[in-house]
Amino acid sequence: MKKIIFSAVAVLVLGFMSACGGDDNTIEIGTQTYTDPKLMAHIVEGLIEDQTEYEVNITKDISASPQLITSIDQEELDIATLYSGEVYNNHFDEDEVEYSTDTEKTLTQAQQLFNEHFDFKWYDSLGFQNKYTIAIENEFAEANNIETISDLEPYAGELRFGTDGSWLERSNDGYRAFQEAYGFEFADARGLQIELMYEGVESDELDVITAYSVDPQILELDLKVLEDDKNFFPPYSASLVTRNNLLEDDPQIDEILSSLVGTIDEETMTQLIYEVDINERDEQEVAQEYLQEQGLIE
Amino acid sequence: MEVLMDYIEFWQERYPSILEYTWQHLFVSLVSVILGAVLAIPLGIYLTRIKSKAIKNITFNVTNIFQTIPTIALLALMIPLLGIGMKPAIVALFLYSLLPLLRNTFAGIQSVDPEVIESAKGIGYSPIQRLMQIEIPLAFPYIMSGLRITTVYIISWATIAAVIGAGGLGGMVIAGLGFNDKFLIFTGTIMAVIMALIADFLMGILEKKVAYK
Amino acid sequence: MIRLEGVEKVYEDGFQALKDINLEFKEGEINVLIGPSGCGKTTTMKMLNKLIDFTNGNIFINDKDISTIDAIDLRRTIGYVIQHIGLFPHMTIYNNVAAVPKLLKWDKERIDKRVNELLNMVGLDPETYANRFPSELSGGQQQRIGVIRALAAEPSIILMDEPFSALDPISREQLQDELLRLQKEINKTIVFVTHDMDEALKIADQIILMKDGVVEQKGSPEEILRSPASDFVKDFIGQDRLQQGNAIPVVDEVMSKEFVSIEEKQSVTDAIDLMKDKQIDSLMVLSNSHQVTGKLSLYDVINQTEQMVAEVMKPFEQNIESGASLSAALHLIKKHDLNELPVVDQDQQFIGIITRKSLIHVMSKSYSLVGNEGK
Repeated sequence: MKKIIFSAVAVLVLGFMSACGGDDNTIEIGTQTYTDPKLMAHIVEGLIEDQTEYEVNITKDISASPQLITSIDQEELDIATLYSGEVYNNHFDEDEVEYSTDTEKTLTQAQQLFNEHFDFKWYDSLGFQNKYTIAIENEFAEANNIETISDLEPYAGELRFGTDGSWLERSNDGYRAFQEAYGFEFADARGLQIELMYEGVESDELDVITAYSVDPQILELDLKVLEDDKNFFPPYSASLVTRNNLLEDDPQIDEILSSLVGTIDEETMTQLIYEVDINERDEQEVAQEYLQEQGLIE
Repeated sequence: MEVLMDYIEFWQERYPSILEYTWQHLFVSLVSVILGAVLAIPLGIYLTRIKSKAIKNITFNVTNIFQTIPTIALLALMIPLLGIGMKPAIVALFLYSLLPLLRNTFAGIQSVDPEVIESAKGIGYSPIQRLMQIEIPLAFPYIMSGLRITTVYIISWATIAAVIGAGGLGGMVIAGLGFNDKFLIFTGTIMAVIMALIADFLMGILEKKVAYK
Repeated sequence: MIRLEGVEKVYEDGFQALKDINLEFKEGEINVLIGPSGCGKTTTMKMLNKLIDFTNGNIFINDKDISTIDAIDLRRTIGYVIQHIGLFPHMTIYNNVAAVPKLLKWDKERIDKRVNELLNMVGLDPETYANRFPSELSGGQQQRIGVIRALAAEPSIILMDEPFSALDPISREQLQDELLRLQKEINKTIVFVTHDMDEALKIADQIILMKDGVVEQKGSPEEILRSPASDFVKDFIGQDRLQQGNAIPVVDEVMSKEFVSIEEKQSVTDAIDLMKDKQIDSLMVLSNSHQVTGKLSLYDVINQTEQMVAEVMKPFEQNIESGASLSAALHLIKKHDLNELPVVDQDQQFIGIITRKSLIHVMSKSYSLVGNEGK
């Protein structure tokens, strides 16, 4: 619940940062409202502060990824964790981007286009995806023998559907396109904060949700992620992103960020998120613990 | 020019969903204000009828506290009680509407010249006739302007209710922010502005109509 | 008629606002309650329509105890005009005047007729004014509306709480004159509160002067001016007005004690002889107990020589008490077209007579004085 309040506050904080940011000895990391980029921010923080002279400042709960991109571009932020599917979010002209659900192709496009247009360094995947999935309660799935999204069709007319604030309106991979791809719609579809989406399932106000693939609530609430049998959802491979000019100034940062590529798989990340979201532990503490376990810091 | 063409196309494509967002917004706002008026106006009148300072203070302080809770926090507080969707949004906005409505109604009735009340009493108006025929008509401009201000505020505040699944024009703005769609952000914002202006305008007309010279 | 018997008002904090008030307001009279602020005059008035309740005593309106009448019903039968007019600002003049008739559920036609009649009565053209709002009228016009609103349902009693005090002096004079003129037409029992002694002297039939919740003095303006009951009353009236009061002669100063009389039981012939002897054309007639009972004039005795005086004399039907003002005497003389007016003492014993001759004598004395000064 606090997160909702924070996201409003974060908008204000962003405004402040543009006024007082730009300290040469500070690396600014920004995160969205969910937990995996927050954990990544603390992992990067731990490494940078361990291996360099830099201070790290983390701004959390920025409500949408386009705001992160703008902030990095304007040098208010330096580093963020972004997802390859971001490339389809209206940043580029339609004729430059080719919509695809192929993991490799999507990542390559993101790396190329953000490099060309924003002068960003978009690293290879950290090793996990955090993509949209369609999830229902396991009990319901078992009772009705539902394995794939297509299997939902007979029941869709009675199912209450919840998703995040933007999915309803997303063009390529949103609800509209979903209806075209799968040929059915739900009884009632509403957009809300991600945390509330899970609360909605728990309090039996929602039947179907767009869970993010690493969310530990999938386990906690005993949800079943349905197979995307029409290969509809695009990949959202997580990568660290920064500006090229920052790396030119300090190759040390590039070393640190590169070292993380391919090191965290989905299972690991889900476990870390579980510690934070379900066991209510501090994000920084969990990140620190991870780094120690991996022997990356003392 | 190209942008304008694109925007027209956006409307052609999206107008059913834009209208639905608009309708949700209007519905949540109006229901909140109507419920607020149904409670706050009679309560405001009642407060002018009682002597107890304590009850007055408590009522004003409680409604004042509702007013000072940040919108997003009040919405969040509603969820454990009422779940997600329109219900908690309506309740939260209803709580917001109470203070301005209560205050204006109270001030309106209090503003009636005591001499006018004395003479109404003296020539034989019963208490209820006095209220209905003298005090409420004289307080009406105050009550109406309270209703007008509150409606405009509530329409504006209702945009934030989208975070708890109440839909409305805030939903368009949040979705637009989420994947960088400026048309969505712009449309959600401008529709909310237009709705507030229309409400203000219509109630302004009504206010003038019922006001005496 | 309104009667207050032993009325007292004690507030919860123990403050006694009124002590043993005994008053009578006669029908068709203007009764003015006056006194310094806090004297209880307004409280006394507001008890009459139950805006304020009283602690002890009884109030009767037309012999009915008002404690047995519902307050709202009572108020609808009593006109009420307050100081700051208290017109309803959101209602037209028509609706203001029609307020009480509407409460009494008169039919529309009757209300229309009554409103027109009342507006005309105070010289406001109904076509021009009926649909205006109070704020579009001058202060004087507004108070006229306030007065006719009180009259609308034809109450026999009207309470007026300092109705003209907020007006400028000219409008105030006009409205006082208008009230006196109206009162001749409508003949209501009016209870009028004021703190303005000039106003009281001008309009009152009865003045009730109050102080600290007690009636200090009550009586006609003349009585109060002539014989103030206490130093307080004197102070309140003020030296200027008291001198003015003294300048008005009382009947005792005007009456003549020298007249030729004849007894009832004597014959007309005796009377003729007496007239011839004294070279006069009329005689006063005395009863057995030496009371003047009438007058015998030369016209009465012509060709009536066989009769006794008692049979042809013209008995007096009016008299006036000693101490009454000359204006009161003049009023009676004018009203009944009299040639003579007997003056009696408190026991109705004859003490003198005002004749046209004695009046002219007094008048010529005071006016020749003024005339001399003029030269």
